[in-house]
Amino acid sequence: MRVKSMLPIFSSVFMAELGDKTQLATLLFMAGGAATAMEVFLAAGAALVLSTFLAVVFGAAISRVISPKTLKILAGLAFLGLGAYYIFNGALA
Amino acid sequence: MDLAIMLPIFTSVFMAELGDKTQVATVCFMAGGDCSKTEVFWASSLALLLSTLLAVIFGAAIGKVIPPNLLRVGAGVVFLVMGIVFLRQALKPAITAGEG
Repeated sequence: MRVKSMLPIFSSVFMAELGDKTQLATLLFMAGGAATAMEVFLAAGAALVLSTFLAVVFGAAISRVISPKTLKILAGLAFLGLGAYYIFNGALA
Repeated sequence: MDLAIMLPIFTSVFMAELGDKTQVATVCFMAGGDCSKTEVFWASSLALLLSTLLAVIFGAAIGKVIPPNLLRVGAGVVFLVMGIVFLRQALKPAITAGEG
């Protein structure tokens, strides 16, 4: 595993997740007081890890169907869209 | 640990994350082809686990320390940079060896 190539993935997913609806949901479950910190962490953590696993499997699958260059263009456009969406949301909220 | 308490937390977080921006980003990083499955899985999983840990530990205090708007703008800038990097790599002829 190369830490250098993992860093942009880690940092962008981490920052995007801060304040996101799944993190807010985790906050609310914790604030509800019905579950312990360990229960909330393991339940929410397992859900996110499973969804990440699905994303990796799906991402790898479509990379076999569509050419790498086309995918890179699509992924680049998606990142531009995500970036514009986040900046728009952050600047206006 | 009470599984009956954990199940609604698991299902709601899981359903909310499906198709969410962070999952879409993970698919894009995987589809980009620069990283192995292991690298994308661990980088993305660790980021989500750390953010979950922060949610559990600090709770609402995070929103007071760092404005959510600032976090969204920060994530947005990183996504824009990734978009530019991906498009440049895809559209540039492969002459520039040693880049990236």
